[in-house]
Amino acid sequence: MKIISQTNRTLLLEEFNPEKLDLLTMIGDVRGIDSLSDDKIKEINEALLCRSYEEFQEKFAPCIYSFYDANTQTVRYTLKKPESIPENMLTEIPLNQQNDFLKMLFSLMEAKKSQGVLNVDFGFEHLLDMISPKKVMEDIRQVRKEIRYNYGKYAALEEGDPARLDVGDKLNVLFESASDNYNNVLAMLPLAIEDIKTRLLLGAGDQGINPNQIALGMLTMGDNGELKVLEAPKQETTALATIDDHINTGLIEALAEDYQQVNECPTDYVKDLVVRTFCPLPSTIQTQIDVEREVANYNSYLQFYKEAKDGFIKVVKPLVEKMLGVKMFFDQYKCRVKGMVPTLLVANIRPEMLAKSTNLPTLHAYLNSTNGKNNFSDTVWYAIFPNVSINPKEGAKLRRERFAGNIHKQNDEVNSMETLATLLDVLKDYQVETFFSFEGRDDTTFDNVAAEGIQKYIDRCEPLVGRPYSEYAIPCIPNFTVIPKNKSGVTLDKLMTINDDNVAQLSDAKEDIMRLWIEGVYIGASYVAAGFRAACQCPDYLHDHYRRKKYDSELPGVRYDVESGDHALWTRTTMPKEITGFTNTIKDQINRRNFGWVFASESAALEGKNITDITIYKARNLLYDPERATYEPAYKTQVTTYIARILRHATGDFKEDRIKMFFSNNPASQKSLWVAKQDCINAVLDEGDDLGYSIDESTGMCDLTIYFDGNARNLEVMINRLSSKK
Amino acid sequence: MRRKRSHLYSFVLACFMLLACIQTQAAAANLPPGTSKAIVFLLDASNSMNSNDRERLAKDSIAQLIYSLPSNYYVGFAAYNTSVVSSIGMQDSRDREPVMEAVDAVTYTGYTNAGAGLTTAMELLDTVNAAEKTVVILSDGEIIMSSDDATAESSRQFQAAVENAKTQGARIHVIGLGADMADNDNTIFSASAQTNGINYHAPQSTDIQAVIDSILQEQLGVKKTRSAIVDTDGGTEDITVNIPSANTSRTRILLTSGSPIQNLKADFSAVNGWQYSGSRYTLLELDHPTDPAVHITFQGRAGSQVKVDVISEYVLTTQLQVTYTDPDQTEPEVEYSERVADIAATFYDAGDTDRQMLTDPVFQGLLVPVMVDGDALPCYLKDGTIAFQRAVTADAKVSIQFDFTKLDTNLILEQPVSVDLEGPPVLPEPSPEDYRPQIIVGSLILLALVAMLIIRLASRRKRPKAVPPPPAAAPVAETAAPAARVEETSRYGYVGRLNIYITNTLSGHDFPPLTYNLFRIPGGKRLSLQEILDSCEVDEPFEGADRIFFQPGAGHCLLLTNESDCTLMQNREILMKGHSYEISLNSKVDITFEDERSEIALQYRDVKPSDMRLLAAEPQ
Repeated sequence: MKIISQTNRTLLLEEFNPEKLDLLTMIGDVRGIDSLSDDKIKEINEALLCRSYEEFQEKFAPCIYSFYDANTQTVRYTLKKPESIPENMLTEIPLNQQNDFLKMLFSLMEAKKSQGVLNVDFGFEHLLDMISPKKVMEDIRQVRKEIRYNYGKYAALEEGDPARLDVGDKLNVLFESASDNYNNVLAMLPLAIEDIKTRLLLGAGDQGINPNQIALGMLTMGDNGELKVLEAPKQETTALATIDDHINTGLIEALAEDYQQVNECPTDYVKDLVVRTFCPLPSTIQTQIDVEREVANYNSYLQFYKEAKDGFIKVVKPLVEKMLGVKMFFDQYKCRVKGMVPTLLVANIRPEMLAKSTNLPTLHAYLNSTNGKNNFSDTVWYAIFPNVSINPKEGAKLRRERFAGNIHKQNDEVNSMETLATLLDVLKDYQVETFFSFEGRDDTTFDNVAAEGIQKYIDRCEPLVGRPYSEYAIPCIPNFTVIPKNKSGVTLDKLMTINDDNVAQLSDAKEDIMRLWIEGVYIGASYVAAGFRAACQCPDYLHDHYRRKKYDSELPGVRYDVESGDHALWTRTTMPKEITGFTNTIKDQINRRNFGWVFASESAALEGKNITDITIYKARNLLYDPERATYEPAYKTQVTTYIARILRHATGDFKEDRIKMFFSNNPASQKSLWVAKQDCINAVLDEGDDLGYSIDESTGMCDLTIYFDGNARNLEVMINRLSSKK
Repeated sequence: MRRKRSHLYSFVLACFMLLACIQTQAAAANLPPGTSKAIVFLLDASNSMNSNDRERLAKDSIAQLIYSLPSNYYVGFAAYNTSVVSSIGMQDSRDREPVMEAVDAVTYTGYTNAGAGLTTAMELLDTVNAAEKTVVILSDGEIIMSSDDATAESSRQFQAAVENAKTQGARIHVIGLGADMADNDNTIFSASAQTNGINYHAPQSTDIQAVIDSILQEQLGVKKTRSAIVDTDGGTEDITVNIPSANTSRTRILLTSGSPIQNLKADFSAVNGWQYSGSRYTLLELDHPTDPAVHITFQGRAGSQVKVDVISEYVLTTQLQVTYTDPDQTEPEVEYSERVADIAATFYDAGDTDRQMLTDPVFQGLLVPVMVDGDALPCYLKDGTIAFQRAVTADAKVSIQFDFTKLDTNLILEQPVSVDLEGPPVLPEPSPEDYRPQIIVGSLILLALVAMLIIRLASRRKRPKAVPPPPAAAPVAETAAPAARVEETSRYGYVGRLNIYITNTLSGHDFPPLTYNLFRIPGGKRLSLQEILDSCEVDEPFEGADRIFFQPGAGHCLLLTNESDCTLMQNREILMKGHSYEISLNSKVDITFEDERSEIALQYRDVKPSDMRLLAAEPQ
């Protein structure tokens, strides 16, 4: 029987959606109790435990709220649901795969991974324009085509025909998707922008015709559903030379009616816009065009869209970075046969809230229930604590601002070192190893480490060294870059002007180019480090990567030392390389003390193939060994914890006689079983390792010594003498 | 100058001859049952020993071993060459002289038949019933006989004897003498490996003495005190040896040297005394010495060194006294499961049960760990008494074992001792009477009490709350009666730390989590929660914190005594006022203070030894 079935459950100390349940709320009042009931643990697992990114997305449904401010005539965004604003004035924007910003980031990461090029060579701008109105319109064109096709079939079928009902169902789905746009003015903006552009800039654009020659036109739909601009009728004529039929009339009516029904304050302008955008057939609708008004509208729409998008990105970026982190945590586990799948327990609460004196007993009660029993199915082994402030609060340097520079504002979203220390003190009592990383900024990236080294991280971690919790603290550096700050500009479009001939044209002036800056998107290194370590716990994962080596299907990879030999090349992260590598000086600095969990973007080859992924260069915690002037490898702590837990379980809570049996040379003893599997890639005792113990009868203490390739690690347990034989 | 002694007997001994024993019979002490141990010295008397032990120093070393052993040892001796040439056993402490005579009679000749020798040694051990059996082999080479068959037979016999020793739990220590035994890989040495014994190598015969010393102290646990090392100049040396503790049952003073010791005279006061001398040793054995000072003169060879060791022993009987502390039975909510047995162990001379022992100031405050039914308790000797507490829930017989290894003397007493503990008294069964009048009266009283309580609470809320006085001024002595049994200092030491989480305060201030390192508090000092909060610099009033006390308890527990009106909860149970509770490691207590708003959660946690070193360097 497998005593410990998982060694990779990870507690994520972050908040994603304050409207969803969180760990503290679910645990509830713990006054007078030490641990929680099994029912409570099950309930928490059902609400907060995720086995995949999709499950996380479903359970936490991260979203952002928007509302309009009449005073400033702007749209405002907030991650926390404002309590003073009525529900009907508030729009909830779900951050799912359909969200253009998130979709753009996922596409960008996929593209970067498949191309395997460095940040410096990657064309970020090609993917960044996915959030421009032009790209939004491309998506709508697809929906529109389907509507036209299906409505055509629907109109052709006789009433009462069962097939007609099937098509009707499909049309309902398509209309629902379309109504997502026309239900929301902001979502209509890209449509309106593109609509005006198409109508005013007849003949311009792709054909490269001089925009000055355009004539006023009218937007209709082509046969294939694409938008078409027909020359506008003269003042004296009111008809358009297009063939009309009953199908498009029906569709126009359906769209207009749907818009009227769905929207509380319908306007004719938007109704026409909806109809123009989604009507799939050549239309008989004529629209009189007031060039001046349309150009003014276009410019204000574009301006508004830019500001809205800018505001949206600024607010949503920290949340999106966290979500990308979660995705990367799960992405590290690439394995053909899924065995010990990494699981993520999302606390869904800000760490500083959890670290309050009032809440720590609650956390204790939870961890005591999961980690303080001889049932290890819910044991938490790792924690992720991202976004630690990199700069301690320091006196602001006053200097005259001669040029516009970066605004060094206090980032309230980052987690403090004090919060980390408080939580580490609790987590170490339950042997939870905590991966922490610093805030995502351009000065915590690979580029920065390559240029400046790691001294600032060593200095920042200084308060955590030489503490009882040091061996459970793993500083992860550097952070990963999704979009670098200097390549984060997105060009949305250009403003429009009217020339002397009363003709609309796009302005070429630099200030009229509508551009927004995402200002860099980063992923905390702790997500990837924890995800990688969690993946390495799975025997099948290791078997997948070491096909030629022996493995044991039951043993977890607790002893897997990624630093050893060429392990770092066989098992890599799924993150694409970012830079050409660290200089030898920087690597010497890292190797001098073997500090931290350090990722490397190095040139390497394995069995003739170039490695394009980021590898692990160091895997250490903050336990400093002054004798050897080095930090200890992280795996040692987990092996010690694993052996202590197995020992406690196998010896019935440290019964003396059973401890002796555990370590005896009897082939059935646990030690012998581990020794017999020393040649496996996931061996608990590797070649050169050993286990020893001594019992001090007078104090009743058992000193357990684990030798990792000759280096001793001690563990002390109190013997249970209440054996039935005594 | 010679001093006159007026006590029981006074002896002046003069030694000029090798064996000048005035009295050959040692007074037999009444040894307690179950304390006997047995040892057989097995000597290789083959021809090769002539070259390795030309000066016959092995015999002196054997004498040193035999005479240093406490009185509870049975001693045997066997020597072998082609066959077993000498065998004598098992002599108690009164008859060790014949053993030495047998040793002296041995001559070195013939082959090495260790198989026959060890078989004989095991047979000797079989003749006595002892709790611990040991064989010490001194040999200078492998088993070798006149023919290969005979050698093989001896080896087989040797292995069989080793198996026998293993079965009996006897340990075999081997002293390898000479260059041939420098390598551990031989048959003789294998005996120790198989029986948890130790191998020693003495390159020369002069090294045997040091090896014997090591076996005595490290393997047999004999406590010796080196009293003096005298550099002799050939003239008469004059020394005074002080016996470290008074009232010993028996004290042996052993003088050893690389050269002969001559003309020894001793002046002492004791019930009886004997002297045994070899060429390089002299033993003075004193029965119940009454004066700790022993005056000795002797002559040694110029340039040599004489070591003087004192081996004292006590033969004791244990007397246990049990008193019980019950909670106040008049309280209706009394839990009878909380009866505490105060057990005090005192020790008396086995030969004179009126004479209390271990009362000497040298023993005062020494650590004597006590194992009570498998639970280790760190106890201390105080005025010859070891006292500890045991919670009693029902009638029980407990087994008690004392660990005197921290004392520099040899104690012979029966272990473990057991004592019958009486369970708490049972409440009398209620008689089947008509209780209706009482119920009515009780209900009325209850109603009155509830009304009084409501009035009291209402009036109390109106009163301004006072900040509790500092702990120094806290009127601990005025607290409720049941706590009177809790002593100011506990006999246990603090371990672990307290994690303090202030979860609610009157002021609404947030406090960071606090840690109080209990293990740094010396002794068993009684601490109030207020003192702990003060030392953590918490400047927030917690009413009643000065009447919640902590003391170290048995088995790494923390003893919590609540004398306040605060509500203390652990594992969904309320800890009652006036009672003490054992808080085990890694458990939690929630406290709601008397103001009914302030709350604290206390967690009692273990501290790893490595962490203690880290935390010890920090300010509390």
